[in-house]
Amino acid sequence: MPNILLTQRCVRSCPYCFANKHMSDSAPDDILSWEDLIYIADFMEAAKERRFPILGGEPTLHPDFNDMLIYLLERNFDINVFTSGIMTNEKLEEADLALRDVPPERLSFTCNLNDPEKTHSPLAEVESVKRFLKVFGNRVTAGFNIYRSDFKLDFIFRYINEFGLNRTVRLGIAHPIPGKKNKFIKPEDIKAIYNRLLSYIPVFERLRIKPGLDCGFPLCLLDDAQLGWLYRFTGGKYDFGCAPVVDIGPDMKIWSCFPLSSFHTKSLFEFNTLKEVYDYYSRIHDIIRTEVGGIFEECDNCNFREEGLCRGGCLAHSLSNFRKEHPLRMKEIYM
Amino acid sequence: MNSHILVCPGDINLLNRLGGKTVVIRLSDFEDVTPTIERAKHLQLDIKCIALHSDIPVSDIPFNRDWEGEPLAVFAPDLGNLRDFIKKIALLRHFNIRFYLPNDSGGCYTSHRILSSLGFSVAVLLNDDGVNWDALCDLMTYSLLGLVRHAPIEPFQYVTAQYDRNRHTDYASVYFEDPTSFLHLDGEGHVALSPDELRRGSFIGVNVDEIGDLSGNVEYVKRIESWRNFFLETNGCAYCQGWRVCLGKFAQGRKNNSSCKDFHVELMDVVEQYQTMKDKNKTVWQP
Repeated sequence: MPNILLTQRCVRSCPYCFANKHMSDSAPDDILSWEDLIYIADFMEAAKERRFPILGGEPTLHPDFNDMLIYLLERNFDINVFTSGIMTNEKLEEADLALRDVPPERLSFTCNLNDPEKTHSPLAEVESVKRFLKVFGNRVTAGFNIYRSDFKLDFIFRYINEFGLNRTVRLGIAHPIPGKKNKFIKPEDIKAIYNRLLSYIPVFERLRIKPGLDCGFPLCLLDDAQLGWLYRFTGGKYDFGCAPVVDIGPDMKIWSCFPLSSFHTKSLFEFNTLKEVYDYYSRIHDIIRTEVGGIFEECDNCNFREEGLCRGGCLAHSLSNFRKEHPLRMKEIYM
Repeated sequence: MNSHILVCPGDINLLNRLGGKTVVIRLSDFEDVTPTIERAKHLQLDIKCIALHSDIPVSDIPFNRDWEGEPLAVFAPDLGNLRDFIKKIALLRHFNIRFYLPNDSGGCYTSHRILSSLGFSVAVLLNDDGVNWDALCDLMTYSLLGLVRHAPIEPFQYVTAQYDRNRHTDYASVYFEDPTSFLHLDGEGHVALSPDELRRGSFIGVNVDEIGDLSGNVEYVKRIESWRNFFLETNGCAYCQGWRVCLGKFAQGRKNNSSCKDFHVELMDVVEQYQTMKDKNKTVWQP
């Protein structure tokens, strides 16, 4: 299902941010209008899609954030909001008042948390996040983006226990933005990321917190013991995929996913159905995959990839590498 | 005359005189709604609808469970606080209601779109000089060619239902302003041909019963034939492509801005497209 960006403005400037470009390029009045929100809701309803993931920037910066949520809930969508949790007290109180009676299964938050020790965060921001978690903790899943190999998860475990968050952590790996400079994990460092992540196995087990891996993690770098533990502990809910997520911007532009946000950008109005959108971006992905299997040379002949168990890591790595070459590949790659 | 619907205030003495007639009862006090409906039913009046004129936003109107099922036309300045409105939706879903709203402050008819998408019938209040024609055109396209089902937005749905490319289609009835269907009464029973004429005290008779057969009433005939005047102007509305559905409603504003033409032409195009699509959807019998 596509992600809908209420605004591209953000309150933070994270070094790994996939959306870095969009934050800096965004116009001051860069917010989704009601007319376009209703169009998107109709578009989703026509596709029989009942889930409505809301992103930013920081979506709570939208002046009609609460009203738009209430409207979408009334239209029977189940909403997940990706937020930093950073907002003023007034905004938080208003959100609490507006949303407190909505069942958690209908409205949830994924709160992207930065480690205050590793990523510079002013104390006021940290306190703001804690206030948010205190109010909405029972409907929050912690999200953490890994952009350096010496990351720590301890602060997340503390937050989960202190504020009663869901006992799953959504772990994302920072990917490159082709043609841009952001901090990301290089393919050769992913093994170390896995090792560090799984060094927390005793804590995961003791606290009964499940690690959830976002897209772009390759299967082959996990050894059988690590993979076995992940499958046993989480019920095997991993697909090691890289497929079009599709983001819809406040100006109704769409793209495959944030790392590919400047690649084959179209307008939602160019498509009649959600299926058409996914077909379009899937075809683009497939074209690139025919050029290069994945992030490692071995991906080209990988059985896991051929059998659909792994997509060969994030496509953004391949596109970034293509930019370093003379443009001899298929034209779709350079659009 | 008997076929006309009488738009009248809820004055008890006046209602007593209208026994058996079809009426639209104008009210502005919410507390009058329930007793007026009861009184009208007792008098065996055929209630076309209660036209409730509110000076507070829809979200603040104290809707009453007793109004459930009664035909209501609610005229309000705006939708108001969306969250407060949504708290009332469970009750309003049982209502037989249409909201009449002017353009909102943003100028994009957002409230109309929100209400329609939430399943509430809504009508756009159009005034001669305050229409955002481009936004109205977007709303019309949304209304007739939207991706999913939503409640009707007037006057577009009315035009679609009545449209015949070989005849005029007058959507004034949506606003009770078609003198061939509606007559407007004041508290004394004086009869006018439009709300505007009622406000100005321009009456065609002092009493409904005294008017008799309207086809012999000079003022009435003059009024319903008044569209012919547009043909007397060399560059008047009658020569506009949008004439068949507009009928000169925006003649005053047209002098400064002719966007009303583009809108009405587009309206006819979309309605024809809508009707074509509807014809294509005809299904063959099933065993």
